[in-house]
Parts: sequence; C-alpha cells; structure tokens
Amino acid sequence: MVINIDKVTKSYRVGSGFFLHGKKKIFALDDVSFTLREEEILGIVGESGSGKTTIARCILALTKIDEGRIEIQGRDIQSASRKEKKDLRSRFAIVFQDPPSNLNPRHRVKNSILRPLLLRGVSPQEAKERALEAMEKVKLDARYLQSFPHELSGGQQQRIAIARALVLRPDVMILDEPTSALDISVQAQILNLLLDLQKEMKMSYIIITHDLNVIRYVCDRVVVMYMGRVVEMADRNTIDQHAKHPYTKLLLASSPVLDPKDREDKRAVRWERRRMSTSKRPVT
Amino acid sequence: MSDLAYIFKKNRYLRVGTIMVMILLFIALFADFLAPFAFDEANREARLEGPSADHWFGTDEFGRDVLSRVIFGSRIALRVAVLGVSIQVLIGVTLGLISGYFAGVTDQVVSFLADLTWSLPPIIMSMAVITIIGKGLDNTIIAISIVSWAQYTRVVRAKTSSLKNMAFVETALAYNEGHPSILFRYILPNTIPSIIVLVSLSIPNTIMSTTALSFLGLGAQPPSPDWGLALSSSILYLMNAPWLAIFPGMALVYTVFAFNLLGEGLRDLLDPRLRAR
Repeated sequence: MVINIDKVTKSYRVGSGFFLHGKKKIFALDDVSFTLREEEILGIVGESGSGKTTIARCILALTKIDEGRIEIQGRDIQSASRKEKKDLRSRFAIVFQDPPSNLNPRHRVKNSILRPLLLRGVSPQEAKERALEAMEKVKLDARYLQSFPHELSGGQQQRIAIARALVLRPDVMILDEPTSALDISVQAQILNLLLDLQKEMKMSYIIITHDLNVIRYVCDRVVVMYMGRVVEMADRNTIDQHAKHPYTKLLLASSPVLDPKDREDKRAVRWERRRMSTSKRPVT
Repeated sequence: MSDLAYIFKKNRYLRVGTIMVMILLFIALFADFLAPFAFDEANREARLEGPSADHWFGTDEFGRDVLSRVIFGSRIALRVAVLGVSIQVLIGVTLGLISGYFAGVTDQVVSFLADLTWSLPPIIMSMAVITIIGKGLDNTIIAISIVSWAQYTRVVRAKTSSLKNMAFVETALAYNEGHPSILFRYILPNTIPSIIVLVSLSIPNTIMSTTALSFLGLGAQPPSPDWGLALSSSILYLMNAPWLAIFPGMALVYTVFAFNLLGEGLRDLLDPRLRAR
C-alpha cells in the first residue's frame, strides 16, 4: 500500500495568559513530504519533539492537519467521510511508544488483543487462534493472556502491544519506538520477527525511532526529521557515507558504531540549529 | 485474601471506617429487631423522662422512646446517603465524561456551570431549589444533590482529559472504536477508583446538609425519626431534657465520622494522588 505525504503542516496553538492564550503557534510538522512505497520499511528518525509521532497520528487521521494532503492509495484520509476513514484505518496497525500506557489497565491482555480483531469482523474463534499464534511469535507464554497489564514488565507490555498489531495482519504497520523498552536480546528477536513477517505478508512498515542501529538493521529508507521538518531522505546504504544535513551527521556521529573523526561537524550542527530556530516561521 | 488482610492491617482509617460503617448498616438493617419500641409509639405517662432502664436514651415530649427513634433514624441517614450520592454521581460523572472527552465549547459550558454551583453556598442554593420543588425529605435530597454534583464533574473531567490522550485510547481510535465505546470501555472504568473515593467522601457532606435542612424544617416532616428534625424539636426542651439533643447528635457525628474515615482510607488505598488536594 502506498502512502503519499505531501507538504503537510501541523501546528499547535500555545501561549499562556489571558491575552496570549492560543496566540502563538508551534509547528509540529512544517512542510513535510515523503512517500511510503509498496512493501517498504521506512524509518523516521529524529530527536524527541521533532514531529515523528505527530506524523503517525496524522496518517491515521487521529488529528487534523493544517495544510497539505495525506493520500493512502490515492485517497485523502483527512477529508474522507467517516465510513471511508474507518475503511482506510482498518488497513493499518499501530504500536505507540510508552509501553505502560499502550494497554488499557482495566482490560485483560486477552481482551486488548481480541478487541480490534472483533471490531474488524473476525470471528471469535479465529481471533483466539490468531492471538495464541501471535503470543508465540512475540515469545510470550499464552498464560499472560489472562493477566492485567500492571502484572507485566515494560518489555512484556510492549510485546503484547506488538502482538496486538500483528494479529490484525495489516497492510501497513506503524511502529513508534517499538523496541526502545526492550532488552537488546529481545530487541533483536522482535526486529527479526518484524522482518520475517514483512517478507511473509508483504506489509510495509513505518518505524519511528531514534536508534540508528534499528534503522541500519531493518529499514530500506530513512527520513530524518528535525524540528518538524524533513531534513534528509536517504537509502539505508547511502546515509552512512553521504549524509548531507548537519543534524544527520550529528546523529551518525553520536551513534557509537562510527569513528569519532566526525566530531568537528558538531560545531556545524550547533550553528545550523541556531539558524533553523531563528528562521522558523514568525509568530503569528 | 491475604492481600485484603494486609491492606486492613496497614490502613487504620480503612479498618476503623469499615467497621463503623458495618455497624451502622447492621443497625439500619435490623432496626425492627434492635429498637425496643416503634419510633412513633407515644406514651403519655412517660413524657420527657431521662435515661432509664426502660428508655435508655430517655423519652421525648410525646413519650416516644429516643433510642428507638435514633435507631430508626439511621435508615433515613442511609437513604439520604444512597439516594443523594446516586443523583450526584449520575449528574456529575456524565457531565465530567462529556466535558473532558469532547473538550471545546461543551467543556467550557460545563466547567462554568460546575464552578458556578461550586462557588455558591450549598444550603442557601438548596433552600432556593426547595422553594421550587417543595418540602419533604426526598425533595431535600434532590435539592442537595442538584447543587453538589460539581466535585464529581471536576475530578472525572480532569481524569478523562488526561486519559483520552493515553496511547491505549489513541490505539483504540485507530482501530475504529466508536466514541461511546471509548467512553464506556476505556475511560469510565479507569475513573472508577476516583469516583469510589469521592462517593465515600461526599456521603458525610450530603448527610450533614440534609440534616441541616431538616433542622430548618424544610426536610423530613414529623413524625419522621430524622436526626435533624429531632435536634430541631429538642430546642424547646434543651434545658430540661438535654438527652433529646445529645443522642441524635451523637448518632449524626458517629455516621459522618464513620464515612469520613472510610473515605480517607479508600483514598489512600485507591487513589493516593488525590491526597494532594
């Protein structure tokens, strides 16, 4: 499934005090464009506050955008009718970051996993089978289906959230920091699992992360975001050698795999950061 | 089960409060067996008698047994608690959910209403309501509840607006869960601990306010064994027959104290964050 994001801008009104209330705008997304191709694993990388999660929320029309278009298979999800929105959403699965808030604390794990399936019209019998299968895939014992989220560790909660996404067999899976709460060993397992599933089920992934190792390991292409803008788009193979934007260079430099010879670039990043923050749209 | 025992062992408020409320429930439930006389059984020979072996709490101006009236009065107090709090929860929680979830203008209107009723003295407001709907115990309960739902709205609204941005709610929305289902399956269950705490803390307030209105003659009417009414009619005989005021007053203090302790204990147990308010 193809997602085309074209010049999307999303701002939040902020400002405190009686007169300034809602008068300032902060651009969470500023003129963002990129495309998710068929059967592609796209990484979105950037520091916190750079708009990575906002993009995910916009794609699913969980929040409205100010300008631009988000097309899913050529259909604009933002202006779609309610029924069409539901239709489009049902081809996605999503895993948000922050494991403890990903699951309803009052629902047993079983209900959390089964509920989206039932909403999509899967029969209860099949839903149960799929849930058991998914639990096996994320290496969790089936007895955890009866648990409440607070009885599980953060890593287990995150694996449940991933299992919940897997059972849906979506066309596109959006993963927001899917592995940041997991042990390194489990991280590798989950990433391998995601890669296997992608081949098997011909899905596309959007993986939001700040971990370059995840990007290097699984992604076909990388979108680098910085302060709400896309500053660089590159293939996995070219980003290491040919990073153009200073922020990308800093990101690469801060990743421990690389040689520290890129250090002088940090000065350039600092300069660039200053330039970008002053050239930001004027307060309106 | 051992968890429960541990909780009771550690939480003294909860332990004492639960026992006190249980005793109250027991008295109200078995009032027919516990009370030596009927609450409206007058005895002309024994008017305004002090406490004795026959009448432990003495008798009133009609020769009615004060002990029996205090015992039967507990039923009224509990009726006030149940009925009043149900109305408050119904209004308050519904408005709180709606305003927290839908935000915007709805939220502003509801919050304004809540702040408005919050800022007016409840007794004066409920007297105004009573002038419209008329005297009587049930009307008093309704009047009190109409003016004291705001605390539920505030707490539920705050909880709702923080819950609705949590990842599990967003995920549910992304999986095409409808708004009613989001509210009742995802948000409401997570506000219930706070609501339980508020319930046990607002019971004493409701009982006190209703008693005050009965004392003013707007609530329960004679010959009801209501404690507020008993206090009010004891005024004339206060110098000669202080037991008429002391025992209903003590029953009232006991009840309010019991529910307050229970509320404090539940708050520590279910929602420690509320303690900061």
